[in-house]
Amino acid sequence: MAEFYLDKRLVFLQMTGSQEDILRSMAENLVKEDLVETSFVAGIINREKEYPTGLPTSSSISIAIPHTDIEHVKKNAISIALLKKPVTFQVMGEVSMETPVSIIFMLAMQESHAQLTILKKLMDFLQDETTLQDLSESQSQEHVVSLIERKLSLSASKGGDR
Amino acid sequence: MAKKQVLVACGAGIATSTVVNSAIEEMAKENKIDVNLIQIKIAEVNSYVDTADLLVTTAMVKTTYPFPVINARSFLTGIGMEDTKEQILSELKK
Repeated sequence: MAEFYLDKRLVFLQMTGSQEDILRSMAENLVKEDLVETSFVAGIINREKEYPTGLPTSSSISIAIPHTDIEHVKKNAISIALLKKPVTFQVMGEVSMETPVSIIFMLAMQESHAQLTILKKLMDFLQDETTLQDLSESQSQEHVVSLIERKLSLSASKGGDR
Repeated sequence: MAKKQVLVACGAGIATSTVVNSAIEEMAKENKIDVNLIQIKIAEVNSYVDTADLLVTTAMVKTTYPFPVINARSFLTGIGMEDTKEQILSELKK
């Protein structure tokens, strides 16, 4: 399974701002960490306008999974932002449905099939109200990293391809 | 029954379509239906207009196609997933 990079430097707590400000800060941080190309920033912002990624969940916490084309990505990574107040996103696949998003998972992905396990686990995660609640109440970047690593089995995926 | 060509599309063709693709794959297998799944970006659907039997997508569809379109967001959120599965199955069985 392909490796996914996650580090506390990719985790933001109590984030504020408009949707675009937040996406920009998260994406620029990935550029700074040399995980994506500079073009990733515009890629993320434009993609979100064209194909929104807001997802209501079965709990009261909505999430968003912004991502963009593979050519902007240098290394598989996931960046997470917990928002101080929910920010409105368009719902994925809907013309005029909005949802107040509290947690953003920004995905930098280089290819699709290798990531299936991670993506499936991420979707399981979204369907798990207790874990989402736990994540949204995280007080430290370390807690977020360890929770995500555990839930997505990221640590088990280290050590190269299977 | 002819093998159905099913398009699975999302905005980038890499993330959510991967999850949906795998869910349909499993579903087809369970029901012993032979299906030709093609994972693409929503922008690429036009290339398959003449051959596709069904489009399953997480992206918004603005165009009208000659085949049915099923929204697959429920595969990501879990909300209403059984309904979506049944919709897809009934199309595959047609």
